[in-house]
Amino acid sequence: MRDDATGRESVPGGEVNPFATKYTRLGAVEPLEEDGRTFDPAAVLARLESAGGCGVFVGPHGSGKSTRLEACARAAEDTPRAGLSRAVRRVRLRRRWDLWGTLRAVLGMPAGGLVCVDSLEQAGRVGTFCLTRLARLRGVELLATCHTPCGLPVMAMCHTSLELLKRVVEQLPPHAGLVSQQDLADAFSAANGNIRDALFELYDRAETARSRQRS
Amino acid sequence: MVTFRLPRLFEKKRGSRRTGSQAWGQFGEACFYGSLLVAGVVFTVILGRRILEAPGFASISLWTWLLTLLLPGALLSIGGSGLARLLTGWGRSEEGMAALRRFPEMFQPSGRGFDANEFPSVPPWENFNNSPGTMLRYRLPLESAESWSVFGFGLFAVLWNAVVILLAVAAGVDFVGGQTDWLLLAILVPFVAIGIGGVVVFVRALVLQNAVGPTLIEIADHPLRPGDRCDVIIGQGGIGMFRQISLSLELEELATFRQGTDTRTERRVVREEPVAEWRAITIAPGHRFEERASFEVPAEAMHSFASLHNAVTWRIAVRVEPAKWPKFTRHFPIVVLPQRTGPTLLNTPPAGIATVGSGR
Amino acid sequence: MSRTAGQERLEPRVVVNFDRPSRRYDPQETVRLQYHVAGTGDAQVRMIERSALWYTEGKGEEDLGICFFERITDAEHLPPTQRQGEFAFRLPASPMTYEGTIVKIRWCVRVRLFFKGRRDFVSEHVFDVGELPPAMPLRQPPTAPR
Repeated sequence: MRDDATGRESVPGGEVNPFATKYTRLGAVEPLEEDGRTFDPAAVLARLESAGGCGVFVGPHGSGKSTRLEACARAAEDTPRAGLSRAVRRVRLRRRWDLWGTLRAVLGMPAGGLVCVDSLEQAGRVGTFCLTRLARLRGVELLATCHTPCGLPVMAMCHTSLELLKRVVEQLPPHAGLVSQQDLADAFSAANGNIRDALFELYDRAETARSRQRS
Repeated sequence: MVTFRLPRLFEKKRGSRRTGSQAWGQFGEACFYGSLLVAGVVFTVILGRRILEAPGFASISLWTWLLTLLLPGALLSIGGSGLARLLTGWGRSEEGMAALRRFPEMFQPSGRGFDANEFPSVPPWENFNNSPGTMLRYRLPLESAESWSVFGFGLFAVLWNAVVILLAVAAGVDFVGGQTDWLLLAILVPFVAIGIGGVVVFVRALVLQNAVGPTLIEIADHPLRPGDRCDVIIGQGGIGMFRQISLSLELEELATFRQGTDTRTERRVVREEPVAEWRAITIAPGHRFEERASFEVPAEAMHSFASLHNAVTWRIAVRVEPAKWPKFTRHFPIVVLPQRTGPTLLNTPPAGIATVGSGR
Repeated sequence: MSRTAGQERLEPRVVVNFDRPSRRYDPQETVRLQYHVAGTGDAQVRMIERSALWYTEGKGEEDLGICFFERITDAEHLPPTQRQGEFAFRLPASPMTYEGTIVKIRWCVRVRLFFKGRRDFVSEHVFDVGELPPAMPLRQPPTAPR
């Protein structure tokens, strides 16, 4: 398997389950729009700038928010400003206490830098207000993910669809018929539209199919 | 030019990046939780003195009661638990702490670290072999101690019902005095329901633990290897009839995945080898069911494995079906080493790490 | 190649030959292999890292353990004669290759090329340690009929 985008080739020796976290984790899959079209991080970064430098991806669990955030972070890193590479910092809020570290991250960024915050809902209303005010004072752009609208300009509402799941599966290593189109539909339905959970479900189905092949 | 920086007392780890020194960060965290603990003690003393010096219980307002019970309690519990967590995790990374929370406590490294032993990534087994049996060589520890959950239920029931009693007394005093506080009565209803539920759960857990009694497993040898045959003795306490008690050897896989605020841990039993089964057992008071059996680790078995987020664990499973209580299963992890392949050396060579210049 | 805007697109590849065609070894055996780098054109390779490691794959986070690591560096760049070579390493007693259901353990060698301009390319080649049969799930999730 070869991935020229990440500069990697792999010669597997065993049977690969294409739905393993190795192939589906953050950064391994390119983000897509709900209808399966390619996601354009450059357009989002341009919208972020025109929206005043603060924006958010909104959507439920497993809808691709973190994937889009990571794609935008990489695009920002690869796009120099005024001939200089841009400072980008990634922060993940696992609990409210992590807000302190996020505030320090914004304080430590040079003007024009970008701070990408995953799970902004953990910061709460007051935390979000403080973060955005500090970012604007420092001239730092802030791009985040959130489960619900939080008052910041929405860069994209992340929705999922069966079509999106199919396009994601196409990016994974070939499954050699281990899962069918019906399996995809069943997994999507069982996961209530959560793409991440649907991929975990497909992992189990692929393992079951393979064990049946062996026996 | 040398640059000096003030220590950052609060720091967190962000992926592979740190915002400051871990030691200073932990010191700052210790100061924070310590101050909460001290504040809890101070409030307990001040508010407790106010209550004791009051002319009578009826003169104490409801808010004073609530403040006395809830505020110091919250400060003490948050400060105390934070300090306890900090002390247990001192010097350990976030990943190490997460691994310890997920794996049975007997997998704690004995100070040498997972990869320092002769079988890298095989969990250390010293903690198992520190517990000698009375009939066979080793007594295996339980995977998770059940007494702590009973203690937890009991603590919750006591604390919660203490608050309920005080609120009920306050409501009763008001009612007797001709002033019915309807808001307080409305709050009392769900509080009482939860308090009763807590007591029921605690009593049930306590009775169950005493009725079915402890389970002990002793084995003749440890660690084991694929193909090894080993004697095992099971002892089951309790009183009364048991429909069935069975022993089996299981292989379980465990995988933990984190993304954003989502953390999922999945367990899957991939192998189950029946060992022995007994039916229609009656245990008289003061006695214990005790039987001997033997099992064989399959010749082509995978060895025990543990890394930060994944594990492959062998364990002895004891399934007990009391006649009058719900059936339950208790697990006793064991360590299986890799198959013997040719001469086995005690010391494996260290990982070779070298930087070689081109020599131009 | 790893993302860098405006750079010439390369298609490097690393060919690895194990001393055993089956690529199957026992624990504590020595693995020997040869490799050579091709497809780099005129690009300057400033460093090569070669390593052997195990990693987990499945439904959990990936963990890995390094068994062997070596770095070949040069202040300027490595000439084509140094973009090939051989190395050997001794396997530890564990872990063995394991084909589980939600946890799999794989062994591989990696050859990572570092180019001028902070680009890098990694080539991974899996081999087996031990010969354990794959695990079978006890209770299989439902699968839709085909």
